Amino acid sequence: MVQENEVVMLLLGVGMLIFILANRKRLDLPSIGLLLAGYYLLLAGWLLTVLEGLFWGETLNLVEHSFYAASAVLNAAWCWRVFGCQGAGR
Amino acid sequence: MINSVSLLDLVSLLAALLALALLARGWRHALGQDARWLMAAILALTCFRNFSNFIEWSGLSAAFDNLEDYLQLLWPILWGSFFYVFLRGRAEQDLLDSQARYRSLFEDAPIPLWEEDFSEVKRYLDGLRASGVSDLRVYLADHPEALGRCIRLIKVLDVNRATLALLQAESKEALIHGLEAILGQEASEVFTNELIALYEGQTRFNAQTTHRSLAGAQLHVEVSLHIAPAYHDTWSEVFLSIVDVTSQVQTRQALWQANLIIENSPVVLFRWRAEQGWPVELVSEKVRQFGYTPEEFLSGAVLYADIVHPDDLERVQREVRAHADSGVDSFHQEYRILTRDGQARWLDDHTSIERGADGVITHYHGVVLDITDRKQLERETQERRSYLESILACAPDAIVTSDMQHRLVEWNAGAEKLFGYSQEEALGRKIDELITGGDAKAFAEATSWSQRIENGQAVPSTETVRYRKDGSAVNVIVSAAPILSGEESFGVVAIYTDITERKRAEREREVLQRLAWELTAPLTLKDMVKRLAVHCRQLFAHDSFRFDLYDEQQGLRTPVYAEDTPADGYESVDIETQGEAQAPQIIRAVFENRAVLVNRESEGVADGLSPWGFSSRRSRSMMFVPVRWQERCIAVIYTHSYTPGRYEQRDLELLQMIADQCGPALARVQAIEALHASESRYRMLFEHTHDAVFITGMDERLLAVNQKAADLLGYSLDEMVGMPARQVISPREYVENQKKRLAVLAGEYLPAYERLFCRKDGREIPVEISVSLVYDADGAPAYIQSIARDITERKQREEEVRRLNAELEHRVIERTAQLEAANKELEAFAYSVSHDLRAPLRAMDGFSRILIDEYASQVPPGAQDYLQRVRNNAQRMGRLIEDLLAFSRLGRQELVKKYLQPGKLVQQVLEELEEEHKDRNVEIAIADLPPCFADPASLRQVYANLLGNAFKFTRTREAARIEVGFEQKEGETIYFVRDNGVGFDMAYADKLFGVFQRLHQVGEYEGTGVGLAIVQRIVHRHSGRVWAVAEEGKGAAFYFTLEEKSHGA
Repeated sequence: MVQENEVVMLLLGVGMLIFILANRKRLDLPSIGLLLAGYYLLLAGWLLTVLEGLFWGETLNLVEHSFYAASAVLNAAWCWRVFGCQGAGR
Repeated sequence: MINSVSLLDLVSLLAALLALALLARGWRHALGQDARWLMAAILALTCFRNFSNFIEWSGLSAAFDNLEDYLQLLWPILWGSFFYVFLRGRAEQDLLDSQARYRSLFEDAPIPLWEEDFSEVKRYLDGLRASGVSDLRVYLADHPEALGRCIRLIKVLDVNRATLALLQAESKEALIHGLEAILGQEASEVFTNELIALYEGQTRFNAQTTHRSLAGAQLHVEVSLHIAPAYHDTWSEVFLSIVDVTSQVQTRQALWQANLIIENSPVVLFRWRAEQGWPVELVSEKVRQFGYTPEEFLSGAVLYADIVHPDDLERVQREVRAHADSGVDSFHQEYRILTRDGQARWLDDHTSIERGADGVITHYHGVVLDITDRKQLERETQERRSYLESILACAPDAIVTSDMQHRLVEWNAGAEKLFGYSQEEALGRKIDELITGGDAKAFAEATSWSQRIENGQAVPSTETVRYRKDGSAVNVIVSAAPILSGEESFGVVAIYTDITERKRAEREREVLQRLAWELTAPLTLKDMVKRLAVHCRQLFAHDSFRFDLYDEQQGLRTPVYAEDTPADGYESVDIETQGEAQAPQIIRAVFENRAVLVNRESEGVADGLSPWGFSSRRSRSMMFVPVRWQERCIAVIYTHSYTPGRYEQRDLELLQMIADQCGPALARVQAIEALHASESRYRMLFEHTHDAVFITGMDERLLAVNQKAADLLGYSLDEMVGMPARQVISPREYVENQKKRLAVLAGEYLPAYERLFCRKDGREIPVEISVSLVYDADGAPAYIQSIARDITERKQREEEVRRLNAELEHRVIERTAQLEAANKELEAFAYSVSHDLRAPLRAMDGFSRILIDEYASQVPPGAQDYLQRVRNNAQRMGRLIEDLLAFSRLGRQELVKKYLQPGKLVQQVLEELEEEHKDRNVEIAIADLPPCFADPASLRQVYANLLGNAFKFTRTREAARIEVGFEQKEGETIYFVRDNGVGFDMAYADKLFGVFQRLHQVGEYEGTGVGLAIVQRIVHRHSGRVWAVAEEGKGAAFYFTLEEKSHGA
């Protein structure tokens, strides 16, 4: 069963995706690929959250959480790259 | 219970926490603060959600599930905010970085930059535009204060260090403070253009102008202004760059000046490649002076070798090769080139050789100067030197030079000829001693001149005497001057001109002038010749002189004067007239106007000249010249000398000149003498003529009268001379006389006319006078000459004749009246006789007819024949009487004349005659007869009689022709009737018009012989003439004229 807040969140996420893609060249953060990959996985999780309410609930829920986990790991990796190994000495 | 999902959530939680920890650890990283907080929030939210899911999926609690559902909505928002903030931070950072870079560039730029705010200026200009100003240039020109106001409205925001350095300002404040001094007056025009450009909507403006640094140095700058793109509406951000181009301008000016110097210098610069024909790589504009353009050389169209004169090209090439091979760096040549128009010009070429690194010649650099004028000058100098040397050699004058010690160093041919010393003899000797001939005066003179020349002064032309080598004196003109080198003299040049001949010529001219003057005096012939002899003696020193007149027509010589030189000097001698002597051949040419010079080898030569000279036979040198006048020889001059060879051709020519001067004078003297003779004859005539002669001046006073005039008028001669001419004229005719006088003065010819003179005693005398105007030699009226003859006796005779004429006239009138009366009585008698005779004639005819008709049987045939003859004669006598009556009536008949067309009358007459002769072949031609003034009936009778005769006397002609016409002769109309009839003998023409005159037998042609008499009478009554022209057997023509009367009469 699809919940409204999940759909709203997905829509907001897609809107964000469009914003990011529109300003992709200006996003010159270090290791931006990690950060954006984390966001893309998160957005995929939001999509799966909506989809699991329609079909394959168990499976998609597992995949959704897997994506969340991967996104968190990528975020942690980005923080490590930005603030951990390089930014510590500066 | 932990499942896979909760496990994944746990991993997520731990990863989020790790990330959060890492974020916290790197908090001071340059990432923006806001972004850092947002990332922290994202990570915190991730932690919270994973923690909530973990405890939910682990079954521990679902207390945060609802909160999670709401909070997770923030998740995409936070991510978006993160990126947005990051991007904004990035943009701000970029802006800051850009500003920092701009500032750095601005400050560190090597080009002086200004950052200015023109917004106030824009508002001011907008205000002007709103107030209707459309042409800002005009407005600024009219309001110069507006420009200063605009300058003051500019806000200088910033300037860079290069600006401070360029304008030598210590600080920006100092620069802004001294802004007006920096711009100065020079920049005002540029600033005006700048404002106008901005005013017209332009956003960029470039110009070059001058500024002054605060230290006062002039700066040439290129100003470039542009409004920042974001401020086009407000002009609040305007950037101004100033590029210092002072060095460029100075360099350009220096280049321009250098170019100017080159172009204005006479030289032409070349850079040739060291190749065949010397192609030109560089050439200055000055090459145009040769007619070529630099482009022709630079394009290769013209090679330098092409313009070198063909005669010099080989030499130039050879010299260039020689210099190149010798290793020199430069060389010099002179050669000719050909200009575009083909003129040859001499060039002085200083060529520098340019070699490459390998030592091979690559180029030549030439500085070429046109030296044609110098060459010309050198040639002219050389020519002048040769010319002077030639003059020196050929000069007829003596030209000598000496050094300051007066020793001769130059002695030309003229000097050799004049003084007789050769050059070898003269050079080195002192001139003052050489040609003064020991004459102390001449030596002193020469010495003083030498001193004068040593002082640098010239000796002007002076006549003096010097001496030849043979000691003879010679008249010379001396000119001398120092030869100067700068201000120092190093020699003397002197010119001696031989004036011996000139002196002689002057003497001759003087004599000729004096003679010419004397010949103008009123001399007698002999005096004139004596003076001539005196002058000839001066010139020719003759021993004898003779002057003969010569009559060319008669070949006679008349001696006038002669003189000879006996021992005691000149005197006149008597000579015989030798006119009859035959002139010897040797001087016969004299009479043909040619001068003759004879030089005898010895005395006593039998050349036949002695009778033509004098009694002496000593003459050795003789001149015979003709005195000519109007190409004729009128006299001969003989001049003899006893010295052999005394006269030359020049003397002969001089004597001929004298003779030519004498010619007109001699002719004048002869003319004067002839005039005197003529005047004498005239005086004799004047004095002894039988007529009175009056000479009246133009002032109407008598200049002269002869004795006859004085006698005629009763005056003495003294009384009449000077007397007014009108005093001798009768007062009654004075006015008429004045008219005549004026007519004479007007040049009219007046035939002799009569005039009444008034004697001294008041009595009037009739004279016949001839008056004429006499002109002087200039053609102006001189006086009036009147010749009067006393005609008193003639007048008396004329009066007698007039009286006799009047008496005769009276007698003629009386006799005429008597004759007319007698004529009328005769006519009346003839008429009455004729009239009365007709009755018995009719009776004779009638009774004769009765006898024949009624008594024919009783009268024998012979008697009948007699009766018939009686009758015929009675009838003929009747016709005669009829015609005689008609003829008689013509004398009494009154003529009624009027203008009429004779042709009509002729037609009427012909109609009647043709009717009578209609069986005949008669051709009649009638001309268009002109009108006449006549009595119609009479004229008709004339034509009737003439045409009747014409018909009658052409009856024997098969083709008769009658012509009626007219002729115009000498303004007179002559009418005629012409026929081709039998004609008549012109010997009897005078009898033709007599009454009863007939030229033919009665039986041959009928008629009474009165017709033509009638014609003549009618014509005579019309004041005309009638005559006939005929030839026997060929026809006759009768002509008549009528009184001519104009239509207007």
